[in-house]
Amino acid sequence: MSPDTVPWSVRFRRERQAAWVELEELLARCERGGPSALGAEKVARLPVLYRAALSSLGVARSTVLDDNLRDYLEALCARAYLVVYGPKRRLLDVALAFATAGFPAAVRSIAWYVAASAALLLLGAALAWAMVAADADTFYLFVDSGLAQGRDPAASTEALQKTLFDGGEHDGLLDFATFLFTHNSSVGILVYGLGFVFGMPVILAMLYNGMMIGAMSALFHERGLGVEWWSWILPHGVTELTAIVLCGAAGLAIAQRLAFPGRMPRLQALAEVGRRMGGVVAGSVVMLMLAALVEGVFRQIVVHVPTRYTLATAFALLWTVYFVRAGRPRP
Amino acid sequence: MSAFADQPLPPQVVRSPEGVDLQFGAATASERLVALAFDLSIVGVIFVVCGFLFAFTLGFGPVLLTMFVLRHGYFLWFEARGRGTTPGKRRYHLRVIRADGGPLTTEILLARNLTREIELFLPLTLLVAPDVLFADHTGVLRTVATLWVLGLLFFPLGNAQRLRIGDLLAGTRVVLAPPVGLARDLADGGAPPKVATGAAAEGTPPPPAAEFVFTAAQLGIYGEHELIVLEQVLRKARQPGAEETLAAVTAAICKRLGLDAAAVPQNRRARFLQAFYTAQREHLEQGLLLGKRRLRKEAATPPAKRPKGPRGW
Repeated sequence: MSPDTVPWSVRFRRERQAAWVELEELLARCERGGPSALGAEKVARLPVLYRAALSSLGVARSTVLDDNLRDYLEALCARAYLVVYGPKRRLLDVALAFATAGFPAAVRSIAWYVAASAALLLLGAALAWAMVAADADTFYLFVDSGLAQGRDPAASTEALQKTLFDGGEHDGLLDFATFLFTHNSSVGILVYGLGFVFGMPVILAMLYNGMMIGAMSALFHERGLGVEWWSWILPHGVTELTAIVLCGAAGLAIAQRLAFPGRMPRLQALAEVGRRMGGVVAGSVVMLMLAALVEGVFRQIVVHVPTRYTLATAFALLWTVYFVRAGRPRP
Repeated sequence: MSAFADQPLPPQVVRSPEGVDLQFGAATASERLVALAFDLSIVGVIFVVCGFLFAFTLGFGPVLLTMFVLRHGYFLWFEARGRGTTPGKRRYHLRVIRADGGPLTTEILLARNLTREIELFLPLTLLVAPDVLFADHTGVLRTVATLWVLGLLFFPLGNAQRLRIGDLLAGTRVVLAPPVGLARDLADGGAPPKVATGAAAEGTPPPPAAEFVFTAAQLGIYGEHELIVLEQVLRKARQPGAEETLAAVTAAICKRLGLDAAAVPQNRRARFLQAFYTAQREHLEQGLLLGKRRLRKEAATPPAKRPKGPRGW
């Protein structure tokens, strides 16, 4: 062995090091300012350098014994991989594509869960309605006093009617709408997350939401205020309840895949359904925002019953067409 | 990162579309916790500042809205913009990646961040203001519900990879990807190691010191593990207290090689080790190119997968 031979990895490194350093610089700039900070020419260079670095890594792993060099290449390739295969689409494009196609498609993919979620809500409503109709005192089981705000069996019919048409003062309507939106959205998101604990809380939440509506409906119907009551609930309720039902459906879908992952490994099955359901919940949050505006502003200002029903019908039609038709490939 | 005393987790391997398996260190629970704390303090500061501003100018609604947007939007926004990092994650070199190696999409980020509601905010509400949740409940029911909700908070401690529920639902992993600088090549050039720099010396180096020459038999003794340990020793040769290590290592090598350790003067030890390192690496790499691998010396210790650390001499 002659003393002036250098290890082959030294030659390997001398040949390729310039490309690694160049890649490192591009990565640093890209991580700070995004791909646009690089300019067209440098962006085109990025994948070339990335693949060169990957090839260097492959060689280094099998034939280079310089530990620092191997660690360096591992880290460099990992960083480059994250930049090269990072998310590329603009948030606005993503949102548009999601609103026009992704959201309704995701909802259609869980149509049976939506049906189940809605059925739970209706079941809760029917149960509570039947019980309150039979015995008015059971009302207090379903609606706590904070939510009822005096709308309970003890109130006079006049007082009940007043709550349906008196929005109070018109100041701070947007604040009220914001409160409704943040509160309802948090409930919706919570219901989605609770799917992870095998869905029991989702089922209970859907039943309970239905029970509150059922109990209130029974009360107002009993006093002969049925038409006015639904004109008060439906304009925003169509949107709000649909969104809550969708969140419940998302939770149920997750619970189902968690318990019965099918042929996929459980983790993979969960990830697959979780990603789709994340979108469903985000779409529902936007729906809840809309519902809160209607509830917090429109309903407080407009007391004309036919107008209220018209808006409710319009929303019902809109959502039906949207979820059934939007984003389907044209034949 | 030695600052965190967790057990190291098994690395997360991701196969890139080119077919190369890239290794990422899985982030430990404490690393994730400090990053989260950092992010939450930023959120807290923004919220307090905006909250005060809005409360006195715009009213109650905007305060609520700010809270909602910060609570759900902060992580989502930064992870979407910063390729899977938030300021806190970046500070501690953490990153969100997809377990199957694909690109992060907005839906994935939504799925992993919306679950924060039950994993973090619900348990925190419970700890700070339990009456918000359980105003009408007392006794056993309340205890059971509390334990149940706290179980969600401590979920990551219940699995080996420290995954939180959001990671499971989105199929993501949080990995540790600290930058590694390219240090000087110890076998390139005969000069004793200097302080490591990012750029290696260019041009033709002087030939390695010819004063130490090793025979093939001598180079056949040690394996890759010992070479890497020697690399670590040499990279620290300029640090205080390295003299003793150099002396001990020189003595050990000389004994094994059948050389007289006293023949290597004290001020030449680094040079001797450097020359031995270069020759040894050349020898082992030559073997690798021909398909011969020698993991460690002939001692009784069984070979490890990827040996590291100062033991084994």
